[in-house]
Amino acid sequence: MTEVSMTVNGRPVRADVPDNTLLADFLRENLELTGTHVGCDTAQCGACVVHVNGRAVKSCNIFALECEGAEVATIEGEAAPDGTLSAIQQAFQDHHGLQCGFCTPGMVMSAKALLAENPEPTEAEIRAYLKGNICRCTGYHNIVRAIMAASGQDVSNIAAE
Amino acid sequence: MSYHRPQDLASAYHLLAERAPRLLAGGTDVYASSEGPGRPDGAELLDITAIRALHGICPSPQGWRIGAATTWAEVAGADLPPALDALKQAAREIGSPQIQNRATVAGNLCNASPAADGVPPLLVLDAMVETGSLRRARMIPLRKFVTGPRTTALRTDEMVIAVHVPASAGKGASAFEKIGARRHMVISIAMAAARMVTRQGQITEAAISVGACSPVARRLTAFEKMLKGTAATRIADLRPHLEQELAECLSPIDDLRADAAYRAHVAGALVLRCLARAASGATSQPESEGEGP
Amino acid sequence: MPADGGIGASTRRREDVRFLTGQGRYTDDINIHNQAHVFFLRSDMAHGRINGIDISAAEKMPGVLKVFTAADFAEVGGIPCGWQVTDRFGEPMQEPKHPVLAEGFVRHVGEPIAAVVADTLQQARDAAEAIEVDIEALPAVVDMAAALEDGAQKVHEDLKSNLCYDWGFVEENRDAVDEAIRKAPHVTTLELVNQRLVANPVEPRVAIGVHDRADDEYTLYTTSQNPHVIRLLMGAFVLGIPEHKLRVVSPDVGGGFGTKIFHYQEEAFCTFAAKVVNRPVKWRASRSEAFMSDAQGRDHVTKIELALDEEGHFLAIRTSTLANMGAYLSTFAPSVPTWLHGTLMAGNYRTPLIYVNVRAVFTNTVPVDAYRGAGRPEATFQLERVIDKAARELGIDPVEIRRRNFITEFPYETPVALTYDTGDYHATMDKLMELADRDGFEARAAESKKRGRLRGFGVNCYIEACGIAPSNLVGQLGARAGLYESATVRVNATGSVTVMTGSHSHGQGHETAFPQVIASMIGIDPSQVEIVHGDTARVPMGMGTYGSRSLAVGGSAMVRAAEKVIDKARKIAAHLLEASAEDIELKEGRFTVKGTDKSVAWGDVTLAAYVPHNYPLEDLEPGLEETAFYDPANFTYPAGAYACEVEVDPETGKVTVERFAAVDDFGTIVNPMIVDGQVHGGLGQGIGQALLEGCVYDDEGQLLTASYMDYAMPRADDLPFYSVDHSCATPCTHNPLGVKGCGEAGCIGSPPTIVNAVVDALQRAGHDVTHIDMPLTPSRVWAAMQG
Repeated sequence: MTEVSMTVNGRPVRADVPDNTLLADFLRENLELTGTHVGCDTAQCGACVVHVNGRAVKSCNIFALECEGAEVATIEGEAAPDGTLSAIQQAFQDHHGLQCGFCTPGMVMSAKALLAENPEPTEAEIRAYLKGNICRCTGYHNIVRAIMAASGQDVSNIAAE
Repeated sequence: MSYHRPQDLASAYHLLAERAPRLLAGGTDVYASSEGPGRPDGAELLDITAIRALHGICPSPQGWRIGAATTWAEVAGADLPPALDALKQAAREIGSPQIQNRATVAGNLCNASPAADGVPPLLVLDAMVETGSLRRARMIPLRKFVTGPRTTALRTDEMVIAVHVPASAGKGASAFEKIGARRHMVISIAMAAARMVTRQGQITEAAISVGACSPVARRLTAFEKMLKGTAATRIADLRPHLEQELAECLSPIDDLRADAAYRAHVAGALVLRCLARAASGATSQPESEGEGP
Repeated sequence: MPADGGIGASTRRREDVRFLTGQGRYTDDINIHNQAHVFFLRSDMAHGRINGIDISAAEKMPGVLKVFTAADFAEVGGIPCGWQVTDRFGEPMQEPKHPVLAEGFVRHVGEPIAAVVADTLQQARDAAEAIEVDIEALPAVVDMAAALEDGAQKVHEDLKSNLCYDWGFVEENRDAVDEAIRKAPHVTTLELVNQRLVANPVEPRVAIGVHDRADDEYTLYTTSQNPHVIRLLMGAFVLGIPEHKLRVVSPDVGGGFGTKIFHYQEEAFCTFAAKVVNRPVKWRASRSEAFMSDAQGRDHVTKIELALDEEGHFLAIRTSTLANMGAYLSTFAPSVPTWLHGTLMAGNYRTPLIYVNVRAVFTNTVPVDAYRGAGRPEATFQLERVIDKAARELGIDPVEIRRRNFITEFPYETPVALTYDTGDYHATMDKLMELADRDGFEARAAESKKRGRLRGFGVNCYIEACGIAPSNLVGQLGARAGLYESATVRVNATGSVTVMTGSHSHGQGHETAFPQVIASMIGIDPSQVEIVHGDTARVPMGMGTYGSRSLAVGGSAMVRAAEKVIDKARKIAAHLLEASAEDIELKEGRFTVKGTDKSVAWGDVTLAAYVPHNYPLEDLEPGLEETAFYDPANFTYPAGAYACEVEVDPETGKVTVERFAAVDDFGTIVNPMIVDGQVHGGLGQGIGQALLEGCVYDDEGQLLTASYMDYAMPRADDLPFYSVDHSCATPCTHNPLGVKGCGEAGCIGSPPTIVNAVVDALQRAGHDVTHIDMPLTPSRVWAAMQG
């Protein structure tokens, strides 16, 4: 067991964990932040995407110990404290960008990282950026629309029905 | 499992010599190759990412030094001349943005997959691999560093310190192409990189490599020689020679992603596309043979 | 869009808030105090005889509570199959035992041999490595045709052969079909493979078994599309636990696509083991375990012949299919290549004579069962591909040949036992031509050519039978369960409504769409209606969600229950208003005496039901809660027409989908936004099958595609935006809402569209290519172009 401390969604946390504890397991089991999901164990599906020091990473692909002293942001920190959804979250709801919801936390965290580095991405840029996130429900149509809308673009002319 | 995260190279060398740990930088290949609780397998892991000396891309008169802990995202975002475009293009193709944020250039070389995206671009850049250990330091040409599928020239007590691109390879322009069953996040069926220097439309220097079609990515040295002195606009005329060399030096495999005949054909097509793109990049540059570091 | 948020409104989904904020409650998010963990030791061999298992070292490992093998399940039943097919000679199918843990033999890679329950998962895994299994390798049966040869190695020693059944449909038509094909002026023949797929919901399966010794009650938390069905199958057939002692909970489920319908060994194991070790027992599949243990889909090898006259009118269809069952019969496996496949072979067309032959085969591979579409994609693919080939052979436009054969009068009785109630296939095709802008195709093709790309246009129709279906009919066809649905509508004293439905939502948005129906019926705000599902302790009975049945069957049950509630409420209102019940109408949340301004609000009536001071107690019980069971009179028949444009890179063989248009007739639409989303998702999976996905075993039965790296599902940049339309609606005539079901359409209709388009692109470029098997990888497309 090794002691690890980091800041998660602005809150300092500290725990003794086995050295091989993955960040995803640390978040889910130690901190009970179960919004971060594990879908594939091999860094393919992206359901576990969180931010470490402002950069999107797959939390099934990094030890908790590697995050010593880091700022970690998860889906649970996205909405305002009063529950108001962030612009990206709201766009996902408005444009039906989720169905079963399992990939959604990773999608939202990836979308957030994309918009941070590219505030008004094109459709192609969004699709390319999402290559690390699998959604099996939506066929991606409404996810791409939601991210375009969250960046302030008019998506009303994109075929919806 | 125990996990070590030294702050300096000397401590890392000691751990390497004493405990023979598996090295961990971005970890993206280490995790992907193991499964289940207690991942990754291996009793000892040495995380090198806290060692400051291993970070960053430094230009010098001798060329560019890419520290062993430098991520692909850092490569993609770096200010580098057109001769290194192939490397930047490969950087954006590796895994996904989340992987690029973690995976390192050096790790890609050490993993030594026949389909490693980083190898073909670094081969056309004549890259050298700098290694270190308690006992000695070495500079190994990349073509000798990767010795086979999943094997390298690295000794158990050694680690990669940096990857060097010599200033002489900073000339001209380069390009990278790959094809997989889908666009991203899949092991490539074939990949190619090419770098080219031109003067008044004539090719003065060409470097070409092909990956995923042989146990180790290969340079096409005979075709490179043949291109010297050729007009950049006439490359496609030499396709039979390209295909001949591919047939001689590649050993593409049949697997569930593609059969060997397809791999051999598509490798040629990708080489030609790289050459066309490199040629257009090279001819649009001033006649100064590119920029120095 | 109605302002009231009722039927027809694209209401935003209420469940999204919890999913978007990380507050969803999936099975793996549940941890029970003092739980232990199980790790399954799975076979790495496709076929072998178990000569011995030595667990003595494993039992002594730290943290181990117990190591289980087949011996521990001697008193327990096998995993049951829910459908018995009768072969064309009148004999029942061959049905092998499917043990919880391997008994004497292993028959596919991934079959559980032993299970270790320990304090932690790490301990269980470590101990599993200490189990010594002595297995003698047997030849693996992988290829279906070889499996049926005389003297072939048998998958099950105790069965006669590897043939599960030889099914003919309609057997009486066999000779007539042969004769029609012999005499036909033109016969188009196509041999094709509908490759094996893996459903791959992103949430892996999870099971947690709990046993309470105090009252001998069990609870199973599981990632299921139908918890009541699991309670029945596991309770009655495997473990012998009566329903009142067994609760099954399926909370938020992260996608199903069919593969979470079935009852799996891990569910039975965790429930059983929880009692034995007297601790809750939890299992979560890793992704590679999922690839080896989730039932897989499709895997048909088919020859289809279409007989036509000179004008392209269809005269007869004859098909012969080998259908892979895998090593054991999964819950509904036998029904998929038969009743969900053969009955659809008429498609949208008048074909007077049809004969379908299916031979189902056991192999040493993971069991195969329903995956989104289940049988109907296989039927649609072969039919729409052979029609396309016939059109090209006869020089008839592919749209025109379909129009010439469309069914135009309804109800229409097909020669394969279905009666289509409604549809307008010409209107659907007209709309498609407009939406796909077929007139603009030539200009786009010319533009592609300039860029060195080959462009092709593909078009096809589909029909499916959904909302399964009358219980008496499916009973005759071999189903061992009813296929009704139930709902309880509980009106609370203050007028809000709680609906307990047996349907299960794992992405379909029931929590939003079902209240829209109730809101429309009563005239209250949808926010006053809550949906409860996924818990056998809270919902009386249910058959679950699959086959696009939730709204058509579950929604109909809810409507029937709501009608009973409204009927009773009307009587209470009549009493309060001192009028006759016949004169009371319910509008916008008020009961009004017809032709007067006398009225009483919904909430006052519901309050009176629970505070019955002024109440007709002599005629009516207090309270306002009704249950209905709805058993449909027929299947529903969603149908549509799809078109796409692809580009082929002639140098690499790479195919990209440039445009995709889908026109569907789903009957009445409750929430258009959700329906669009269902179509998009189906298209994503159908295009995935056409271009990328394929589950591959080698000759030794080793699974080569056991990760998300090797099994290529589409990512965002593999797919285009879609144009979808459902304006050509002909409502279903036999359910109260007129709905047909929309969950599988996209997945059924789209694979032939892509293949038709690629063949079109290659033929337009002068290549003599008539068919390429899916997935259309760059390698395969390039090889086809080389001739």
